[in-house]
Amino acid sequence: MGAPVTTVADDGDLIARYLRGDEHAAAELVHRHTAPLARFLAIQGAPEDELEDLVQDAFFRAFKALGGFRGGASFRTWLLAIGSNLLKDRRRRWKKQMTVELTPDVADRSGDPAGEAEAGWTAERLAEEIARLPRLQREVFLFRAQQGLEYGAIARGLGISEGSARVHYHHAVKRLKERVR
Amino acid sequence: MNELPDDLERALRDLDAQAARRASRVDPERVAAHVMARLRAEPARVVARPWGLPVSARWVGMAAAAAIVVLAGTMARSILWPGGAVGVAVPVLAQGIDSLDVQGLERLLQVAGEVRPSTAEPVQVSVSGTWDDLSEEQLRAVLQAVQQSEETKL
Repeated sequence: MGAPVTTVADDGDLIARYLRGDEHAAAELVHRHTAPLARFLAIQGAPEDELEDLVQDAFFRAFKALGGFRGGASFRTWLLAIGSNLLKDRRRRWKKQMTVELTPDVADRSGDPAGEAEAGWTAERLAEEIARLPRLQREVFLFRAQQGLEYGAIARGLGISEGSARVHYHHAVKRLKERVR
Repeated sequence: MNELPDDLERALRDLDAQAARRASRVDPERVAAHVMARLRAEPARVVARPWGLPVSARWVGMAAAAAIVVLAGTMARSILWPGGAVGVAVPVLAQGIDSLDVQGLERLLQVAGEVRPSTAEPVQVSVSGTWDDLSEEQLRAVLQAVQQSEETKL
């Protein structure tokens, strides 16, 4: 008797199951995408005490709008785009908190004091500069550099062309290189 | 990531590690429970709209179509049997009714308003065609006219 074969449902299957009333499928989608979404929002400065609420709201809105999800984009990129919209709406409330909260918690580079000082300064500046990027540049940059998405997926998720995604990424990197030294 | 200069990549890694630490405090179980509770309280509206109309307009359209079916049958019977034959079922195939323009519909309603059937017996009518091309305002106007016609008869 062979080992049991386990198959992992892809997001499309889970979405279809949820639309047929299967709540477990929705819960599986939440488990699968909570961490990347939270990371995506956190790196953009979402305050820690609001992060979970923001993640919940993004999922809630995504599920409410699933009827309009055509599947051209991946659920992940679609969800991140929804999260980004929410973040934009709430950003005014947090504006003052953002840079303050990002400063003290810089990665530990033990054993390399010089490197630690340099990394600390650069990470802080980078957070500030990412927040200052135009919205599309910021999203494309983070989709690519943080989430590791392909340009095609980024383009579908944001509703732009692949070429445009490449251009936005290029401009974002150029701008960051100029400003973060 | 190779696309980035070393210093930028290192800074991004540090920043992302920080973000990941924050993200790890978000509990997927708790998120799922809250989201499911909210969705149960306010279910998603997954409404297929094959005609491309807003739901309200679709209902108006269906109601208008039903009213026109009855009206067209009544008209047909009045024209074919002016004396008012009681209990006769008249099948009317209203082909191409969806091709009527607004003026056409107005003429139809005008004629309908002039018909005074002698009995109120139900008439079986079948109508083929859709009303997709009518705007919500046009459909409301049709319903209103039908209603007025019925009130006049009463």
